[in-house]
Amino acid sequence: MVAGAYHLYSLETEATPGSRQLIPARPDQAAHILESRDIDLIVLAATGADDAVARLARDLKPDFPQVPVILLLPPTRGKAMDQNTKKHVDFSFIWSGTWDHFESLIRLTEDQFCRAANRPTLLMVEDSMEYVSSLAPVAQAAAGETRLVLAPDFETALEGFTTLGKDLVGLISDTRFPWQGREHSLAGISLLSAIRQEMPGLPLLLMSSERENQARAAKMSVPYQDKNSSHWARELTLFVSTQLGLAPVSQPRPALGVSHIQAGDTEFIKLGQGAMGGKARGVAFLADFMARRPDLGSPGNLKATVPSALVLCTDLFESFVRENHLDDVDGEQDLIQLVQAFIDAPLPGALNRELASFLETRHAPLAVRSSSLLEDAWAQPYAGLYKTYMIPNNHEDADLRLSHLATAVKLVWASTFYKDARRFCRNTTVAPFEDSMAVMIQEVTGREEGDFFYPAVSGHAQSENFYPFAGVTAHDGVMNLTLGLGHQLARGEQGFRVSPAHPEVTPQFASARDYLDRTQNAFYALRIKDYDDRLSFGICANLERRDLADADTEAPVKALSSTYVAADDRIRDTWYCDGPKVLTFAPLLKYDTPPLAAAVRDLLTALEAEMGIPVELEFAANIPAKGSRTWELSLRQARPKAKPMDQCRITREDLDTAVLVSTTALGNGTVDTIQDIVYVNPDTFEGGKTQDMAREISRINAALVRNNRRFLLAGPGRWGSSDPWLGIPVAWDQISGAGAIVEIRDGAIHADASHGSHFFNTITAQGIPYITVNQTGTTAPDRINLHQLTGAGTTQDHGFIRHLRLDHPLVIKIDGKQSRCVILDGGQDIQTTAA
Amino acid sequence: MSDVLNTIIAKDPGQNEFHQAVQEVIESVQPVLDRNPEYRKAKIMERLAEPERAIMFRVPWMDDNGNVHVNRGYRIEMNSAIGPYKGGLRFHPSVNLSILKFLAFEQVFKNALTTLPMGGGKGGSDFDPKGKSDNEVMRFCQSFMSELYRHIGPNTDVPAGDIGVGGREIGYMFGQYKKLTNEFTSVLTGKGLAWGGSLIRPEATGYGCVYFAAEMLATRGDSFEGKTCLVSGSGNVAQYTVEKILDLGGKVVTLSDSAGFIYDEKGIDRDKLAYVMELKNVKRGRISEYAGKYPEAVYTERDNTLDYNPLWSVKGDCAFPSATQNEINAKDATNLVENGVFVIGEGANMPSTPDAVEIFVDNKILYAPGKAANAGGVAVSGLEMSQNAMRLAWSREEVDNRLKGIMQSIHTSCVDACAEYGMEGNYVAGANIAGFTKVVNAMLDQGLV
Repeated sequence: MVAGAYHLYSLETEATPGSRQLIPARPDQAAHILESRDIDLIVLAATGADDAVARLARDLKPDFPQVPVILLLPPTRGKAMDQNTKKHVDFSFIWSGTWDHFESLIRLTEDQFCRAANRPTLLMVEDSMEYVSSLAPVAQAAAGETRLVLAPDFETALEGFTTLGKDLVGLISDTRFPWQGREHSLAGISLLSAIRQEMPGLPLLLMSSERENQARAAKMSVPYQDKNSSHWARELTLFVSTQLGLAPVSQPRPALGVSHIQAGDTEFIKLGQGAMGGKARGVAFLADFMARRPDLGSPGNLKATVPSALVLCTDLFESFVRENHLDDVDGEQDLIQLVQAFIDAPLPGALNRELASFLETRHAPLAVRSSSLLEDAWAQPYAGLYKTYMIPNNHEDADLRLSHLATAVKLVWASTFYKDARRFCRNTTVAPFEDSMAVMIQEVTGREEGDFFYPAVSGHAQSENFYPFAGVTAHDGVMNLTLGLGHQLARGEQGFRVSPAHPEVTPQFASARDYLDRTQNAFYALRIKDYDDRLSFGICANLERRDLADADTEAPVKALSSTYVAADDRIRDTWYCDGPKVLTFAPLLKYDTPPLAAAVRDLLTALEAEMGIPVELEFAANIPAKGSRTWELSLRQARPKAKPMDQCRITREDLDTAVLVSTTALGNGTVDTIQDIVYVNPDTFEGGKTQDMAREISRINAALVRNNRRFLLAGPGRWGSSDPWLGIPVAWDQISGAGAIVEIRDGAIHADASHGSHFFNTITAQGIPYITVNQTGTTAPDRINLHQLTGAGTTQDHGFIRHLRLDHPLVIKIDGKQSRCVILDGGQDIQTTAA
Repeated sequence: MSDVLNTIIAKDPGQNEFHQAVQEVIESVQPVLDRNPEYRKAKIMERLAEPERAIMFRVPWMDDNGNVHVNRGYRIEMNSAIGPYKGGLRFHPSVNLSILKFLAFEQVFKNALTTLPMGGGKGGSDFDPKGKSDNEVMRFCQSFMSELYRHIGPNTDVPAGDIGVGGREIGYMFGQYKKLTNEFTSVLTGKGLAWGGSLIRPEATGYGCVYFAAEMLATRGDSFEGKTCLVSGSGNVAQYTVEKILDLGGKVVTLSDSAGFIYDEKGIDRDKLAYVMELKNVKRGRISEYAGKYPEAVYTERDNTLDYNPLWSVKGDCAFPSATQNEINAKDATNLVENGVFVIGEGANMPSTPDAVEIFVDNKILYAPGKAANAGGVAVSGLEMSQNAMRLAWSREEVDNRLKGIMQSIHTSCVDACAEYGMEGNYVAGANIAGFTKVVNAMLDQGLV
């Protein structure tokens, strides 16, 4: 098994002992292991179709042609495999990242190579790797010891049918798949008709994601499976067990197992036998890593820890749902009914007792966090999708504390069924995996301040930065700091964004005024006194949004604030003078007391080296307790970074055909949803009329926002400039629907590029591409020619501004590593990009 | 006079901003030039348009990583007919010779209008302080001053801050000047309070604007007593405008921010103003919260699709646009006039569009253009120099009183100037002519130098 450290660690901690021996290997160790040991199967678990692990297939297969190679790919949408890699891979699957799924994919592979006769066999005809990866394991689990053979096209299916003969116990077929070398929309119908004639009694199932095929199945009296059904796994299992009369291998599980993982000072208590979920796995990995690297995270008077956790594994969720028939409640229809049903259902007695015993020794606030199977596992942008609840856990009534904890657990479980979560899962994963939910319970990092509890700092850091400014490079990383609980960042509210490698460089603040306008002035804290016995389990649980000004004598604010001195018009980096307090985090960022930036920078570098891919890190910090000088740095989560940078590559052909080329673009990835372009018409441009242009844009923006249409905004000079001679003086709310922004440097306005600095917080928070096109006669290959697009859709002229609506979306590609961007005229290019 | 402009354009083609500024001044003082052949004979426009001295220099500095950068520094010493050159330093990537000449040219007349002995200048660099560390900014400021120091001095040229140059930058430059010359002297304004700065700086523009409006009312035998006032904005200028209006017995019913405005029919009294100051300066919240705190107030959200600002449709006597450029267009101006507003004091820079100004002038209302009404800031800079020269630090009351005196003299100069040219009550013409004649007469007095 070749993978990065993160996945190897996950598999090692979750693997259950079996007949197969799994030998973990880093990419650089693979060849050596193959030479020195007897290997039956090579599994490559890649983070993308083109990463170092996937490319290993090309190196290994020629030297070891007899060993089958399977490639496991992440469930996020990404680039297609190139032909050269494909050639050297026997099977490729989409892997959800869990041990159970891993095991079934290995078993599925073995089934394909097993040639033993006289073994009952189920044939599945399916050409899509994505559907095979999700459907086949479910069918296989339902079919027990029965072998499952795959056929990707009509001919292979027919051949399988012939050779299997009486071993064949049933056939599950897709409708649309290749036949005679071409995709055929009704191949499955023809196949089933042919087989029904040959072997009339054989149980058949037709599957499709095209609704009209249901009638065709009915006409043939063949059962039908809708691939888009939200209950497809249950329905497929039902078909296999009832129609085929096959029974799953029953594995009686103990009622409630308790196990421990110890890593340094961090203890994980696992309740249940299932998976820990992505988030808990990430924390366990981090604890293990920190135990091995005590040199990290604790420079100066800083001390890093990974908080201990109690994890309720996924099987507890599954049996709770099953036993209380909660999967019958349709959360997409009625949220209140769903939540109530979860709250009313009782927890099993054994679990209740474990939770009660856990609470006996803990009286500090607790965070009850979701840890779903798919969340955080594969660099998926799930963070914050499922709910996290914080409870004060300080009531004198122990039963009440237990009931708060139980309610929080049930609410996290219920969030799996929320419409948003399900839709998100469907939209971001290529295979329709069923998600499952573990729950992780940890003490909240923070200190008591009056009626509230909160940490001095919550932070979120990434080892790659798509918006590098002012001498900072993409690889210097970036972190977002906030005072109070991290809820602030999860909600996309203002944080203090800075590179941990260059903590003094803050391009968003050029003057004292900028600090006043753009620093945090409210924060989230957990109420721990005078709360309602029922808590407020609404959107924020017991969280409250507090004005910074109301807390300006509390210790964290004193420790991290500067003061604006109006008479001198300047910010002084101390709390101890008169004037409004401004949260600059200066002690941490400028004066290394403590050296938080350096600690985060070193952690990101080391974690990235360990995982082999860009990473994200969540942390919180407490100011020193009374009598101590040590700041506590609590590392709360590490995971592969969402949307890795190397997803977008600009080809020579792109450069030749693009309507826009830029060598100074901020952002990363591909945007292929924008059909509207709003731009300043160079033919009618007048330098003195930029205020009028701002008003026109504002009107167009309002109309587009009403219709939920994002647009590309392009024009000369600095967008949002306060000086109307240097650019169009718009405020953000006048261009709020912009999905990408282009600033053009040419003869129209003599101004240096702003690189989005006027809207820095918004564009970085929303990930909006900010593209500078330099046409001032330098050697840069920059160009823009929007007139080239005019024929492709409708054009509306508004005086100074032209609004162009294309009949197909543009394709905006940004290579964040090199800050390069091209915009392509969509059309046929869409196909190749989405593939 | 178009010959003058053509000569200037031929001499420095490409300096569009500067050409436009000269053209505007020529147009605004045409009656003066027509009436004074002496000015023409002495080639006064040509002399005004040529800086007495334009200094351009190299500013090398090293960033935190040890890389060397080279920026360009400038000081345009435009005119010293009535006092040492005075004007801001701007650190911004857009800075170039044309822009600085344009700003220095305007500064000459602005300063002259204050009636204080200050000539005009402007300077700066194409250095962008954005994204630079404190240390980088310090090294740049020191390098900048290492050349500039030989061209400035308390009796020669006294720069101040501008875009990109705030308290921090003034401090670094002052320190370097002191080190190089071994003199603690009034060579920069905008200094910290502890080392030569003046009180009343944050209040100056708002207070000054109201003092000017009070003078305008007095010309009609009227006062702020019982007047209903509309104020836009909620920053420094707006807050201190409200404070001074309350001092003088007026009632303020509106305030705004970029998201919308509040209308409080009962008036924003001192308690409510204290709440606004806490809300905007300390909590940095939205003005909409005012309506939550005081239910008698109505909040109206900004509507970008409207071609007018509903704040200016509120009934009142006086209006103080104190928010941003071009916040009053022709339609707003008509609404104001129709709703009975007869006093306008511009606290913001150029808040009214040219069409709006025309409507105010045509309707003969008391319209104080920004160049006169918001001169309070420049005036306090002048007072900082005076205090430094006397080695004194005045109390708030002392500075405030002198500010009031200056605003009264500016008003008198404007009234006299427009009356002299038969345009009674036209403060736009008055402000243009008063500043101009003061400088030009001084130049003639001092001979061809």
